[in-house]
Amino acid sequence: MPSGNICCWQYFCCPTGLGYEVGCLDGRGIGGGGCDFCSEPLRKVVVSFAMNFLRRLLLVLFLMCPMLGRAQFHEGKILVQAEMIADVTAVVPGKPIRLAAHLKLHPGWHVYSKDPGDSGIPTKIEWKLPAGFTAGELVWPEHIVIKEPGNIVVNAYHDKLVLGAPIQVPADIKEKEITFRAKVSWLVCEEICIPGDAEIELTLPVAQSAEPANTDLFPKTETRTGSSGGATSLWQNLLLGFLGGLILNVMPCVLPVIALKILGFVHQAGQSRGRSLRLGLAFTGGVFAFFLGLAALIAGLRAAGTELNWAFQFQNPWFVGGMAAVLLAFALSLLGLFEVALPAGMNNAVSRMGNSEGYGGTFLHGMFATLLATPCTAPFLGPALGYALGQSAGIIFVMFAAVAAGMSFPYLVLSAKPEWLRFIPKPGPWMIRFKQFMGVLLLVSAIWLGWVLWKQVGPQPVREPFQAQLDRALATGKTVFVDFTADWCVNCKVNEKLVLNTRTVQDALRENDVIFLVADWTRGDADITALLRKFERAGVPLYVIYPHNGGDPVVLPELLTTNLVREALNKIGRPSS
Amino acid sequence: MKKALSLSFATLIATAALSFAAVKTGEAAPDFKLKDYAGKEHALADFKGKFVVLEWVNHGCPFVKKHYDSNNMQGLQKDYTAKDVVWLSICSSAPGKQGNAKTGEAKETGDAKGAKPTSVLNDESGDVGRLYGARTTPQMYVINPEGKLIYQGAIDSDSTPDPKAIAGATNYVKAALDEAIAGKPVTTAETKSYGCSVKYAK
Repeated sequence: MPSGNICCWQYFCCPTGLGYEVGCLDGRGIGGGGCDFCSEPLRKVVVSFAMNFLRRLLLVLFLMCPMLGRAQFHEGKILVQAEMIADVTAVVPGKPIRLAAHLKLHPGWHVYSKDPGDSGIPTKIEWKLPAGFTAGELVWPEHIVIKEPGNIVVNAYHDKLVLGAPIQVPADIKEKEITFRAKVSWLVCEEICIPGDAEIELTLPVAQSAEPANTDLFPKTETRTGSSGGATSLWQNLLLGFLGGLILNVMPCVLPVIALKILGFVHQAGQSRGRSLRLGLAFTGGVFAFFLGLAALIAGLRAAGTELNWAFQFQNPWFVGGMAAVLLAFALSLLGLFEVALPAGMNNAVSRMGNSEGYGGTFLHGMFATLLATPCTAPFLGPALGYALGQSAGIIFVMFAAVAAGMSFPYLVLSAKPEWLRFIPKPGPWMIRFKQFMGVLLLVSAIWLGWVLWKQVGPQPVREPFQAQLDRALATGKTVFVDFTADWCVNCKVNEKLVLNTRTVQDALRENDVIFLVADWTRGDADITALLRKFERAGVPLYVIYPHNGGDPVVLPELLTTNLVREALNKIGRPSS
Repeated sequence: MKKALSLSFATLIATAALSFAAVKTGEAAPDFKLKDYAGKEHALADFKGKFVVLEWVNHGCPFVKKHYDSNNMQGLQKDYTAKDVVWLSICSSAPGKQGNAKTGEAKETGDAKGAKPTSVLNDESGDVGRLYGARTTPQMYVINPEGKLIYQGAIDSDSTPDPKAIAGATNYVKAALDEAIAGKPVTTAETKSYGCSVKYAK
């Protein structure tokens, strides 16, 4: 009997000689679905048995091996076991469910992902659902990258694969129970490759309510399917957006400009309450105009199919250069070094920005402040915007409005209750100093933007696409720490300076044998944008640790501390040699 | 914004190209020297002036079996060697690995299945496989009489291991040879190959 043959996946066991092995010899049954009989001489042996005896034997064996109908064998090992699972205990009419093929793999063997990589073929599911039930897109879990000799890189799964899809359930069901069927086919490989398939099925009762099932197997992340995200998650994200907008006011790139506004409020302390409130509204209007304009732009571009992100304008050198020039002009003006020779209208606008007397100037001021805030993705803003960008245009507008509300909130409050301005010092000579100090801060901001511009248009080192760098790092089997950063992202630079480059963190990286990868998004690398989207983030910073044992990636918060990073790395530990 | 977009686009193209080919389609196919299983040495340069097909083979791989058990590969070999095309089957499996469990397996199994290439070459060091960026078995290359690579990639358009799918699939090697022999440009010059990984040494 030839050895090392491809086995078949069958509904019954067949005798192949001494003892019972489930399987078929190669050349037969590949893709054919049926296991033609085992081999010539054996057929004669089998036929010589009494038919009764054989039938009884087959029946006993069939009962003895319930799982064998959906198992793939090779040289006495079960390579793949397949079953169908659901995320609920019963079918509730009208309520969608998730069904999946659950493949259990023999240690050391792997099956392939949607894009298998350099070799192999993707795992496939052919659903056979009753009328009225439709399957959505397959949801692929995070795969691992396997590097094989000869620079061959494949995307695959070890140990298990839960591959499923959302299933639409009709509102009107007459049956008491439903049987779902599917044919799942795969290529399972270790040193050699063997194709296989299985017919799997699951019967669920129909009921008015159901409990969750298999929660450990189905992925935790909620699929982004429009409104089925749930009202609570929307409100949570709106709150995060509001808080994020509020915090934007103290970000390093916004504070100097906002300080100009405070000067204006100080002036207004003597003004009428009504005027004060109207000015506050004008400022708020500017903030809202900017955010909603941005939302419209993003929604429009998404509709046109472009990959968009929160801070994209800062990736354009022309924008950065322009902003640097504007900041420089205002800085020098505040410092009293020169009067910018602008056309009459603009001159008024500039002085208004200092005194904040006019509605138009205040409105513009609101927009300007918001524009400067964009590179500082505040801690709450990241996940909230990431959520929003995956949703419909309506949600995008509502989210951006929440952020605008958060950002303009303090000014609206101060303008409505000018008596609270008493907490702000009275006008005096200190104002000149303050103005000059703000001028210095603006100058520093302008120089910083100039540096960013130089990094963008100056000589560029040749850069390998990020996904290739990441795949290579992951293939080493070590833990990989990815620092998603950009030159124009102040929070990122602060985290790098105060946390990542400290002795504590560097030691932790070394002790745990961690590869530190920098995902530099300054110029908007497509691979990095795709990864940010995958982690549901709209901007940087983002810190992701890929553990060495292939577990789920760990996402760190945007505000890092040395202890936090050190503990996260130590918890994962180093790979056992 | 435009700059970022075009940079991303260029990066995507470069990545795609890098992951496909070690040898560029349309350029000169690199020369190599390999011995067949009788010990005789052959060089690609020996065949200048003729069309050459390189077929990466491993008879244990289900995707290679798909084309041999159905007689598809043997048919192509017979048809095109009759048209004076040189067909070289190359086995880059390292010693002991599938396809080269014992030296000569590539030739013996092929003979037993009625394979009719011009030669079966022994690349157990994997050098020529790596030179050509061969990642799967089967993986096919077509070289014209001037020595230029005019096709590389999959043998056909159906990547399943099912022999029944061969009839309905487009055979890219046949198409490239027929077009080039007739003096026409090759319409599909490059595809992503499918199959098992070539069993290189670690």
